[in-house]
Amino acid sequence: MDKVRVGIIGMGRMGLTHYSIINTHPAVEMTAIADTQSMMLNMMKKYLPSVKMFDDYKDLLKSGLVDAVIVCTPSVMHYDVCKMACENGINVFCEKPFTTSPAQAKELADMFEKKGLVNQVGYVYRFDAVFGKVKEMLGKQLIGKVVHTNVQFLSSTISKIQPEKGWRSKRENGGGATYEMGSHVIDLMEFFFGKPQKIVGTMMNQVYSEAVEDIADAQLVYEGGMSANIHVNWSDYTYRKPMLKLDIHGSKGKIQADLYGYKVFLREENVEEGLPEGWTSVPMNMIPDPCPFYVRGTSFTKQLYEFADAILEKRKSNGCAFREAVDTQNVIHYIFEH
Amino acid sequence: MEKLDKVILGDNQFFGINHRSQEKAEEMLKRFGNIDNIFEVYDNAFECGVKAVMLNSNEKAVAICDRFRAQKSKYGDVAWYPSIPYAYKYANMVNELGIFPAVNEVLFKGNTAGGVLGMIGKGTMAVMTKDAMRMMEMLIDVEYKMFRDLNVKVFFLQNIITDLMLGYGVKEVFEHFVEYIRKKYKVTPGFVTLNLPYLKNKLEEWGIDDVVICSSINAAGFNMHPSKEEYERVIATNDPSKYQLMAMNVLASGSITVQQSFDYINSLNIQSVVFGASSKGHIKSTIEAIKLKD
Repeated sequence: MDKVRVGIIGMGRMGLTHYSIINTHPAVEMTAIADTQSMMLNMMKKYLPSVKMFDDYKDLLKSGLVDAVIVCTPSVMHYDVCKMACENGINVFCEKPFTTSPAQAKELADMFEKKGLVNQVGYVYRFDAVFGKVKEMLGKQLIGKVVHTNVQFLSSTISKIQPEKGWRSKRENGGGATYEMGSHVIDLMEFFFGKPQKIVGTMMNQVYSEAVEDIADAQLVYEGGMSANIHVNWSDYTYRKPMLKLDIHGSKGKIQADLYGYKVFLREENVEEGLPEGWTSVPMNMIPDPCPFYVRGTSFTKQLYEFADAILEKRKSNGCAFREAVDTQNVIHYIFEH
Repeated sequence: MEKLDKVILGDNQFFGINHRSQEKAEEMLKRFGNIDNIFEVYDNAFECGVKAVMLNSNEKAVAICDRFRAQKSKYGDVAWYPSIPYAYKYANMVNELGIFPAVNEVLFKGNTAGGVLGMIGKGTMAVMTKDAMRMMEMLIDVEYKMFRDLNVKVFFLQNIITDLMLGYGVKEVFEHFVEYIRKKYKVTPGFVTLNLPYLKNKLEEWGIDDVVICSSINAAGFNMHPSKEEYERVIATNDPSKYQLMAMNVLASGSITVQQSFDYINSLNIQSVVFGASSKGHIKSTIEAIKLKD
């Protein structure tokens, strides 16, 4: 394949961003947009004459105009949209959280694998330069056997009593701290360490929301005995900007990382990697992070280009596959149910 | 095109923007929560010979502009390089409300610039979306208001919006922005971008020139996309009579020394530098290090 024809379903904030990014990929041709707001479609139609507008995503999927779609609808619709895309032989990039039930997530993973279609979920922190570096260090076993990980994601997203009608107060639309933020850190853990063996404890709490949780905690155990604490809080008003930070404690050292950089502590010098005994600190602006087209950071671009490249090169995507997102969905629902 | 000031004092330090440390950012935010401390920096900079400032249209900018206007005799000669919009405000509103309700809110409701209703008369979103260019003009007018009666030289579109729109590749948006700024405000239009090679290529393709391009340019290659090499190639072959280039983020958020930074910047075909600093010593040493060609 030398060209991928791409459509976007759902032109909210993420849909608008994804269009801008993927449209710059030299081998991508944007052919279709679906949205339920006629105002949006009218405006787009005028300035994007070569893109066909649909007010129903089903018509887009049946149009024969796309090889791939980017799904940015409310989460509760993801299952129906992805399923129909699969039935029509269309590759899918689906925004997070993947679905609203583990059974649906598994069914989609099975379907897409059977058809051999490229499938990817928008767990974007896998493409962050700092966390990519953490993954690389873990792969090289720089800190020996990992014993414990502590990961936190804190923000002031919800800092007052919520109106009931907002999308964030509905879990089926991806609301709640677990879907909004917990899903990202659970996926990062999947990225670093694979599937957890068991979940030993969970908690949820509320600060301002009524229908969903503002705080969530989970304790997990991984193969080899590593334990992990996950803590998310989207009502921490002391954070002006969201902060994702983690501590990984190993037998030979420790890694601390957040969105601003990483620090690594080694008990002994590592000559091969040029790292001394003790702390080495690397701020994010020192990590090379070239990207073909920058919009709202580099990660969204690297994520979507990987999706398009996987289709062009007829291979699996290196992003979060549907199969991996099933594991994340299982952990999320365990938290909800216990 | 009127020549740019070679040295411009930016505003990142005032708004708690630090790419390296959240803690440092918070510290600056606290210090510059008091506007007197902001003006202390400005006064120091002017004393050191700075004659121009760049300011994004965020919430604090209104009070800053008011004070500049109120002391015309003292600040009347300062050249202005404002940028719009304050993208975070829009991002949050779009996230909460959806794009059209957010635009509606800015234009008709909680609008701090004031008086918009009188400016545009009656209009509904449905009508407005049929004329997206008119909607853009109205959004520009709302943001421009805070810079009224200041000596504006270049009026910039901030990078989040420039780059988001650039990805869509719609010529009319850029053409209309440039024409509107020239016609209504009689100043030079500018674009801030983190994709300078891509933007310049598109502007040439669309026949849009006589504009300023401001972009992250530094020896470390930080936030230069797709690559430092591509930036160098584009900068070396640029014709400044068509596109004057302004470097920002020249210190790569402190990952390189001032000396390293300016050895690099001074060797390039760049017309202007915008920098952020908050102590008199830093301001002075930065100005002394800037020795652009021509």
